[in-house]
Amino acid sequence: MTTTDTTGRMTRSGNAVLGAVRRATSQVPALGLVALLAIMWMVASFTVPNFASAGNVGNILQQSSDLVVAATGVMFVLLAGGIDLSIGSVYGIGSVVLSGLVLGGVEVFLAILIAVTVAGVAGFVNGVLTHYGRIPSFIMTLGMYYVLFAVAQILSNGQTLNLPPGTVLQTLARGNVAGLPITVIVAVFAAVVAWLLLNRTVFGRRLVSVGLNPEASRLSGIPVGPVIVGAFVLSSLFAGIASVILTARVQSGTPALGGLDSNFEVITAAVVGGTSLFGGRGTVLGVVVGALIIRTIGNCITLLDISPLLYQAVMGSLILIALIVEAIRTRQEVS
Amino acid sequence: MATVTPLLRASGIDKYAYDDNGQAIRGTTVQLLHAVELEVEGGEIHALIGENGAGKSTLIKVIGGAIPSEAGTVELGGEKVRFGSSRDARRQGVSVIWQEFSLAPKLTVLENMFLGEEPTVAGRLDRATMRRRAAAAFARLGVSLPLGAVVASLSTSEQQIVEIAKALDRDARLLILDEPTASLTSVEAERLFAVLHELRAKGLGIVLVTHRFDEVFEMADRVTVMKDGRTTGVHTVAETTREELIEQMVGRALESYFVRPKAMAGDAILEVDRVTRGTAVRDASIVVRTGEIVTLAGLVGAGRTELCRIIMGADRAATGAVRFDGQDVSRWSIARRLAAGMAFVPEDRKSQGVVLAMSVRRNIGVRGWLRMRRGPLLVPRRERELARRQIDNLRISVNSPEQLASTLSGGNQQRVAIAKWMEPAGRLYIFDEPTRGVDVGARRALYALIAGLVEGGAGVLMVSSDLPEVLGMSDRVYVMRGGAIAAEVPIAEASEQLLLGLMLPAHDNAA
Repeated sequence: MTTTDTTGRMTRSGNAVLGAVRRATSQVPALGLVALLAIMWMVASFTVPNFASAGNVGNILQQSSDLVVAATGVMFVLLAGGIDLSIGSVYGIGSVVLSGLVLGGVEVFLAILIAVTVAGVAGFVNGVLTHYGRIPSFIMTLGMYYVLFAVAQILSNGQTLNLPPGTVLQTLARGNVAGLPITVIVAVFAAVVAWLLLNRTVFGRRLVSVGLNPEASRLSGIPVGPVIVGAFVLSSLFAGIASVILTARVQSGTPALGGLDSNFEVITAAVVGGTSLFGGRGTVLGVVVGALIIRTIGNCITLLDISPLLYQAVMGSLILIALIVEAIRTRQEVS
Repeated sequence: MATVTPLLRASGIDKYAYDDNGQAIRGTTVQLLHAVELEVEGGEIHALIGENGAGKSTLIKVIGGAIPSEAGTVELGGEKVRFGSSRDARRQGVSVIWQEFSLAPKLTVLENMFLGEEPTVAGRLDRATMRRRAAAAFARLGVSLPLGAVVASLSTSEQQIVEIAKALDRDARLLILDEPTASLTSVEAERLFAVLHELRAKGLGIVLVTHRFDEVFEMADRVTVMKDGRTTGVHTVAETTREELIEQMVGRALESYFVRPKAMAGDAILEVDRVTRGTAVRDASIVVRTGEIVTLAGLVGAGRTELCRIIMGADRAATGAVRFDGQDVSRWSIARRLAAGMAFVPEDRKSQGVVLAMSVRRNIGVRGWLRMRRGPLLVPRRERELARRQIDNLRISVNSPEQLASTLSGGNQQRVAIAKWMEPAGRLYIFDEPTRGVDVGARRALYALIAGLVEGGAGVLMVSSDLPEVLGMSDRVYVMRGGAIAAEVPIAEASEQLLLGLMLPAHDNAA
């Protein structure tokens, strides 16, 4: 419309700075989150005892690695406009398969490959039944959660599968390369791969388009089904990798790996990181920072020796705040 | 006549545009409204026409109290009025029925009639009064609707009636309708017009904002023309012509409004053979050749869009075959048909033609992504280049290719919806109502574009409800009626009367 053209052109130089800031934050919405994380760290380093110690910061990064991987994975499903509630027991099945195979004498890397593949198959089933079976992803993945949990229970006979000391898995959890913990390197690698997938592949372009408007995408020739299945597979693959990291950390396989709230934690990290639950909007950087914010809060709660029950309350509040922020942002766009 | 005080007199209305920070931008070239005049008598239907962006919507927003103006006066029945809000205006007898209704879809008709202004007795809803007042309003309209029905279950036209009833309940003296027939079928439009005639007879003043000349000539007593935020003409409808109105809308006479391609029909690119899908499409066969424009004429609901969706693969036919370039593509997916050279520009551009929340660049790039790869990765530079080329090629007015498609005007969104099909060029373009809601100037550009496609060797299948457009653009016309192809008419034999006669259901088997 002529009005927008003219207003655009007439913006005065005094306001140009403000406009530039607004444009920058609108194109990289994660910048605000990075600032938020920085502020949290600064405040915590003055108020929380031992927070600023070098060991603790490394600790936070290391503890964030599994969440970073799983949350960037679930971002793909959220971008497609769906949700993945099966992650909690993808952790479990991955962990039990991995530990069982290692205990049975299978080479660790092969065991990892198989565990992650099993996770990927679960995602494939999620995607196929969601799209082609027209089951809402909410129901589909919740069902998958229970199925996988039961299978993991059966496979492990309801027992914790303790790994023998001295395997490569122990090195993965504790080892460093060039001064960086291996798990952190894995998380960074996963985030970079996710970024490339989202921003530099046809799949990523199609995924965003499908998430924003499936019908218009279909009529433009985008194969919607494969895109959606791909998103679910990625979510589960990434959850599988996160499961390997967690299993290595605790050195045992259990169906309840990561705790019963892990679904919620992963989705909270993605949403706090600015991923929309309505599809099409989300950035890898945002999700990574979202995961760090959550682990920072957890870390502070531990250091301050407050009841861990508070952690759940904080998680719940965080996801609500994130949703309110998103609602406000969407409203501004509309008006 | 001159001595009688008009029902509404808006004069000297100025309205500035605002920048991002809410500062008014001054200067006559960018003013949204410039000393605009509008006079409406009681008991008349007054059409307000102009291209998109001419200021019609802004003017009715000012008159309806939705936004303030910088200068000018509004008089109602000779008294100067100043409305602080739409509700304020409605209470004083001026109601605007916007294109986007303000009804709450999940509430009932009755609840919507009084939403936010419910009559109460001792703090409780006075349902008896609500029901009585609603019944009275519908009685004045001569229409009955179930008051307990949920609004979402009503058709668009019925929702419109609810809005009008709401206005009548507030004793509207002036009713302003913003393109009321844009989303109505022709039967529904007729019903609306009957209601408006009834209200005119009761002395209401009615302002009808419209894009359609036939509505002006059928319905209105007088017409005000706007262009670039100014009033360029006021006429008694009986004394003006379509040509005069167009000239005042665009500021120049349109000698050749339509653009005929200079091309010869070649081989058949599309053959639809006895396709049937439920009752929507019945035993339909058509042929489109390269180098020709074929239109599907017919009433809304005749099955034209449904046939197009079957051709491009969005829906499946129960029986029959679709052949594209000699190959049977009936079992192919949409993606495969489009990859083979079909292109589809749907009717509803906002929900199907473009992805509103995505940038212009990505909207244009969607067909080319696979070819922008180096190894597994996509090279964004190639997408930017493609977007720039097509923005220039189709003269899409954008500030930047990074702009979201939602920020563009309707005509520009339509161009984006077309731009994605330019590289690689399609061999069959299917346009569903390509010029609906597009203003006169932009229409001509679209016609030129379509002609260019045909000259480039593509075939075009166009759905159009605009008969002059059908006659002006096509080489052959298929008329659809009740899901079937009622006739194939070579353009040399076609006339508005003939086509209309074929489109309307026959008397003996009226549906």
